[in-house]
Amino acid sequence: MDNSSPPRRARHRILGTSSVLVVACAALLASVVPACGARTGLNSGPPAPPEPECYTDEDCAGSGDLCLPVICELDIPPVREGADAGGHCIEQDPIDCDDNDPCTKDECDPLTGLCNYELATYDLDGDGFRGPLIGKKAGTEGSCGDDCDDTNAAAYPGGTEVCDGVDNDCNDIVDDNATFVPEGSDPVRISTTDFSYSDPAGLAFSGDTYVAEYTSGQGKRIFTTGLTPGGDKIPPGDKKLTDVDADSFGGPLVWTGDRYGAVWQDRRFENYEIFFTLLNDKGEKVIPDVRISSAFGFSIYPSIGWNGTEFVIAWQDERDNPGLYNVYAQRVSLDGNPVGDNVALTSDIQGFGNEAPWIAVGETSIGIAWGVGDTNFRFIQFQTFTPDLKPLMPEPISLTDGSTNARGQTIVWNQTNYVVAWHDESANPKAIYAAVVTEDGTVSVPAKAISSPGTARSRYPNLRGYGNRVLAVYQDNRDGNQGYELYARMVDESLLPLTGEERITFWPKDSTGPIAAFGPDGEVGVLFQDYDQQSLQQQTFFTRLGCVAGTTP
Amino acid sequence: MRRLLLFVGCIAGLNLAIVVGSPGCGSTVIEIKPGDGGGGEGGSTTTDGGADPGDGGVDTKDALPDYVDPGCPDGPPPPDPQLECDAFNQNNGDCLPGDGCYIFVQYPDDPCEQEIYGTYCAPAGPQQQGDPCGGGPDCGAGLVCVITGFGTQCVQLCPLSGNSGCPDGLTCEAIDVEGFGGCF
Repeated sequence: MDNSSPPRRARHRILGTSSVLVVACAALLASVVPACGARTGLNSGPPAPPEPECYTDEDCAGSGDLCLPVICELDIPPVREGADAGGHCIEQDPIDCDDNDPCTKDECDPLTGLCNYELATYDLDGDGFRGPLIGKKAGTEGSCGDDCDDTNAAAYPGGTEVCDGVDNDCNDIVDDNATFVPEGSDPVRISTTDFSYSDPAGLAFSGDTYVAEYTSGQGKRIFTTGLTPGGDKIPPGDKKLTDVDADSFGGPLVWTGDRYGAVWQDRRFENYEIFFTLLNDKGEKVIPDVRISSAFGFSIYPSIGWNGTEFVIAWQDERDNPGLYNVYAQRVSLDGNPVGDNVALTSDIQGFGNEAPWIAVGETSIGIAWGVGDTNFRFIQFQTFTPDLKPLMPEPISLTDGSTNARGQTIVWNQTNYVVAWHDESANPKAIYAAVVTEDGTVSVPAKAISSPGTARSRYPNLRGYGNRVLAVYQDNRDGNQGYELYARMVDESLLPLTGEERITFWPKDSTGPIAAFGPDGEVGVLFQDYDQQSLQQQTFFTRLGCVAGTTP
Repeated sequence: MRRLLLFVGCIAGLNLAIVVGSPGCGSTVIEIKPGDGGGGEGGSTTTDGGADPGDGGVDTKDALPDYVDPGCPDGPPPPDPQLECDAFNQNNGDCLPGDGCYIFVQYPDDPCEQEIYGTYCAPAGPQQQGDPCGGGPDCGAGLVCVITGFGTQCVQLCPLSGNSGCPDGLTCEAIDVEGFGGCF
């Protein structure tokens, strides 16, 4: 140390001096002698020295944050004599907590100035294996975790593959070579009897039970309920997701490994805005509603994904141009705290809005599919983004040529690629179409029909990815059963059929809007709308597809 | 699947109004304020243990807390619809020749209040099933302008129970005006 340097820290000592100073001034002011900087009527003697900037560290602005230390250095030689001495505030180097370990979150505690080195990855499913860092593939160098599916304790490196809808051994293939058939039992009505109409909104599985979300009464109320693997309601049964009387419409659910994230839209603030909350494994709400959007116009059609560390929500938003929509997104922490602000992911295209985005979380990216166009000629768009919502691809790509009415897009991550599916109202055939796209935007399998409706229509696909194949569940009216029925088909990585089209529902009138989720023992749960044969109303139902084990290739 | 179909063209044009207001009703809602990263309470992030990856340790999370949504107080039943005409029966003389019967919704100012639905007569617009629109009167009689997620368009009104009367291949799906569906 340089001996000529001023004192570095004098907090306690100077604090004592300061106290003495105050007492001394008070005593002197009681006498006739002007002092302590008081002006006299005479301009005699030298001017009073300037007030010191500080006497103690606490006098310095920002002194409360010990991670950005600032100290009061005594003036040497002192500007004032004796007890009136003070100093100047000097900012010190910030506390450096970087331990050069990418697997820790290096944070300084402002109250103590001490470093915390919490692990940057989680073991949310409690199987003893941590998931990777955002944007890293599990088990690769620098990933800090090797659990390929930290939402499910039955998936971990070295696990044994069984028929359970999970990539148990982390080989990028779910239920190696199994196929799926309807269980055969009647669908179970899920929606409450209090409303004459209900729509399915979301379905997810925790590893033990399902949680189903549905909207009743044309937006009157959103409900969630826990379901056993067989579809029986788990007490206390139906619970209101929102408790406002304004119109509310449910959205998808996602399971993190120890909680669900739920997203929806409601118009408690007059316009529709996007909201988020957390649910426990029984579907019970555990935090207040978190408002995600707050802007001019409608914010609608939310989708949600979980990337192992954060939720990502995307929706269509009217804020930029009345009547035209752009896709916006928001990151949300595990605790439900928004991370950063709303981020615009698209811009208007020649007067056409960007609508109905769907999210899937990939290995190192977030994939989003959405629609652009007018009411008759539409493009299915796709783009990938970094976990912090920056474009990975310079521009979105179109998966259709815009000459047809393609809509109803959905997307799934299939272990190594994204699969995007949609239906087409004007193409021949009016089928379910799909394409395979890599994370860098390369279309590895161009759009092709994956259903065969003949002269009828297939609509509204929902996908589940198995790594080397994809299960599509959709509605189709080929059987003329007074409307649509649900069908399922497995296709391979090239979107070629592996199975026939299995009919899932059989009641007269429309069965529509399937939402599929991996369930126990390789089953796939399906939430959908059907015509209740007792109440003669459109209500929300649940059914199952069973897994027939195959052999490992 | 997206079947959340939103009626366009409420009578007061409020659907495009800038949002102003408070949660009201004592309901709790956490709002994002630009730059502050928003709020949030409940739900633990505390890690307990901190096992190394793959070491067989378990990183358990604190149990999620209970939460009771304060919700809305019990209030009066929803107001009766204000029906000037029968939207499902366009030519019954309720409206003048050349007019159509259109539905409307009036949105409340408070989260705990309910919408007011109704019908009114207005000159019939030119747009038909599947045509683009910017509000209810753009559409022909018996149709409604809806934000669909695949273009804002006119769709035929239909009853949600019984025979929908929708064109072949289309289904009658709920819109956010109680008692009315649209053909999609």
